[in-house]
Amino acid sequence: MQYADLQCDECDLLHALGMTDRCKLSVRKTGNPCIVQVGATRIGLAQSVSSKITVIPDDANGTVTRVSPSPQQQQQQQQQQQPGDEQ
Amino acid sequence: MNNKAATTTPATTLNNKAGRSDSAAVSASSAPGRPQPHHPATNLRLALLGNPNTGKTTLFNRLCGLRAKTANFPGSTVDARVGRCTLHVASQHDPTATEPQPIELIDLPGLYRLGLNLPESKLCRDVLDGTDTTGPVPDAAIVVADASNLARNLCLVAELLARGFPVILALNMIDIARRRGLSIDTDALGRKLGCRVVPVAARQGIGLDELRAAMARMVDRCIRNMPADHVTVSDAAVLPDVSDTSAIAEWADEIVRTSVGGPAAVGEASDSIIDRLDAAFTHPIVGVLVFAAVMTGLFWTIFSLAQLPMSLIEISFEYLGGFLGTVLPPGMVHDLLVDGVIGGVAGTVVFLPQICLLFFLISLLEDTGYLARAAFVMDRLMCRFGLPGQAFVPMLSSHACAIPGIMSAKLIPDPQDRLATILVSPFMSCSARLPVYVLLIGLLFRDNAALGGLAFFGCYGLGALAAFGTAFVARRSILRGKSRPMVLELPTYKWPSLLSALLTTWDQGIDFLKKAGTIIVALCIVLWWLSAYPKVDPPQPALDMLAQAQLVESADAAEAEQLRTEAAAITARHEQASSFAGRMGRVVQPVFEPLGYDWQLTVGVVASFAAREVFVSTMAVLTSGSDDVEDEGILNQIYQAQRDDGSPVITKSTAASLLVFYVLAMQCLPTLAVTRRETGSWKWAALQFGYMSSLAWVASLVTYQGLRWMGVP
Repeated sequence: MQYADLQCDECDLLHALGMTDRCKLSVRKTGNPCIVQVGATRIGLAQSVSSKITVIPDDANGTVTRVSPSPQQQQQQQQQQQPGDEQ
Repeated sequence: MNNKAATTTPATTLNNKAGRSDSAAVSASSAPGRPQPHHPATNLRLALLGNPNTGKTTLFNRLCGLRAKTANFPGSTVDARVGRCTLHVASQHDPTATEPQPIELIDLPGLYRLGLNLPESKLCRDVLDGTDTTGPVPDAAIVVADASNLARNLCLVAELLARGFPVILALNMIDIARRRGLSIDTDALGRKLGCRVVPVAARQGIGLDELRAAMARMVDRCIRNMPADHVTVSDAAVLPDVSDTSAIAEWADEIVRTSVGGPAAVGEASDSIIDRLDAAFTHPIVGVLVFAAVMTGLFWTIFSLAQLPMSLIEISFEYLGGFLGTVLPPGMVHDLLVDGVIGGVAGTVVFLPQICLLFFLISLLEDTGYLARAAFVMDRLMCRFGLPGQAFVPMLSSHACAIPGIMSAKLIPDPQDRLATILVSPFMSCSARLPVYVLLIGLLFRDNAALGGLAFFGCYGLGALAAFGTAFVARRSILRGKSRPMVLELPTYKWPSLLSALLTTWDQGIDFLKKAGTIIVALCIVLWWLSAYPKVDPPQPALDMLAQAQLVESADAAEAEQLRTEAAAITARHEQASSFAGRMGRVVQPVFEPLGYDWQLTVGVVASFAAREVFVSTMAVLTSGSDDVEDEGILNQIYQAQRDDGSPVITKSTAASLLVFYVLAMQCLPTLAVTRRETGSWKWAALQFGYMSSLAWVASLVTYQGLRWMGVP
């Protein structure tokens, strides 16, 4: 799961709701709100949040998705981690 | 060990340390996170935690014999709530016997993780660290988890275990999980987690004896300063790094995979009916129409179903007033009881049916799970005005009372969002406004329940519009910034609990009657005295009429009676106008004269700045001697009241003007006190009062003058 331009607190909340990196979720409704199901949890997301989440379709009917970081976002993450590694 | 382990003690303390010794062994400065050895001088404390909407408060109520408010949407508990119950633990002297052990149970707001930067997480951290006002570090924790959604709930268990807390995992709503085909091996789950796992269904009372037994066992070990009662640690999964969200989620998934079976073990089952309902209820157009229909239906039901019980209450008070009127000799006590106390209290209690219906219907609605969907419908609207979607719950709660509404705003993460919500929440029409609405809408649309229902909806709509407009201005001036986007867990749909709704209705009805029997009676007595004294002689026109009545008595008895009636009415108006209340009303009346209010309405409005519902009882007291309407109900008495010049006190235009005033004005001292407490400053409370009252005055002026200009009387 990757989030572009979302605040840290929002990312933390999404993680706590089960929307973690590479989690499996199903999109129950698109639009505003977008409704996704992670495990047994249905989560409503305002469009301004859902539009910043990257998901990758996982099967033929497109209802189940697997999410993973995009290469660009992975690069950003690595750049953010580097200063900490040096310390 | 006694499995039927507990007796409940209904006594409760909210957010205080009543009953605790000051010499508690665990001080706030002790190392946070780990429970310290229990001090025998204090009650044991168990924290009740869990994800939002998992039934913590329902379980808390069951264990402590209380009736704290519950609802089927996340965030219905906003504060730490302390209850007491007694467990029967093994006797320290005789291992075969048990002895009662009082404990404190702390019901905490729902949270997803302890480590999140959210108000509810901070509050729970403070309680667990012993740095909050409820008392020292809890001795152990009970995690209430939704049995159908175990994986996510286990993350919180991991955090608590990592902090060293002895934990009991209560798998709530086990009946629903089983109906969905889930089979949970609680022993295996307990072994993996290293804690006791108890399946319960708190709403139905299933598994509570087992839970109490587990609590008693844990308490026993706490008293003996023994290590936590882990079933066995040999199989326990190694706890992951709780700061790593992915690792902790994988750990939870792995535990669920090995201990939960069934077709929907990891909760991926879909439900097309729920999908369709969600799609409809959150649709940009259909969702708004459904919301409008639900709200209009709610108000129409309140307005129409309450008519019969209201009439019965009115008749009862009339009978009581008439009975006392005949039994008591004329004089001050007679007037005080008949006109002051009974007239004033009747003017408030007559609205009990509406209050009960409002709480009953809102309670049913809260239980269904629909409101979380409605929150998204409103979020689209609210975010345009600078309010966050999370403000929906505080604003909805404010329809019952602004005080819990403002208090629930503390769960809004962003300080600016929170402040904006607190400032505008009192615009939402609370139940205290209901009597005034009924009185005035009854005058405007007396014979048309449908129009009355629409007018009700209009009042609520006007309040909401004022709230949104104010938020729009505030977020572009004193509270600059954008609101946070909404992320909300959608609860499952449920059939509402009739029992829960009835209990809520009973509690709220009793509260309302207590208020009517205390504050309102006191105010009625004061207002009666102010409106009845000083006593003055009848005016000359009345004396002339009485003299003429004596002259014509023998020739025309009917005309003589008519003259006496008119003389009595003139005398009553003169007495009212000369009374302390009349004089005070006249002093303030210039402020309200442009709105169409005479001195009586002015006194009613000014008196209701303490509490809105006082308006109706004030008017009942003020108009009690102004007309010969002893056989009429309280409402008719107010409708037929006359001004000093003989014209009606309340016309259609003044009724509309008053209605607008009461929708918008800040007339509740307790709300201002709560605003001060939640914002930490009188500045915001003063701003709220000044702004709302000014807006109400201007809007009422426009309404009254506009209607008069259009020829409405």
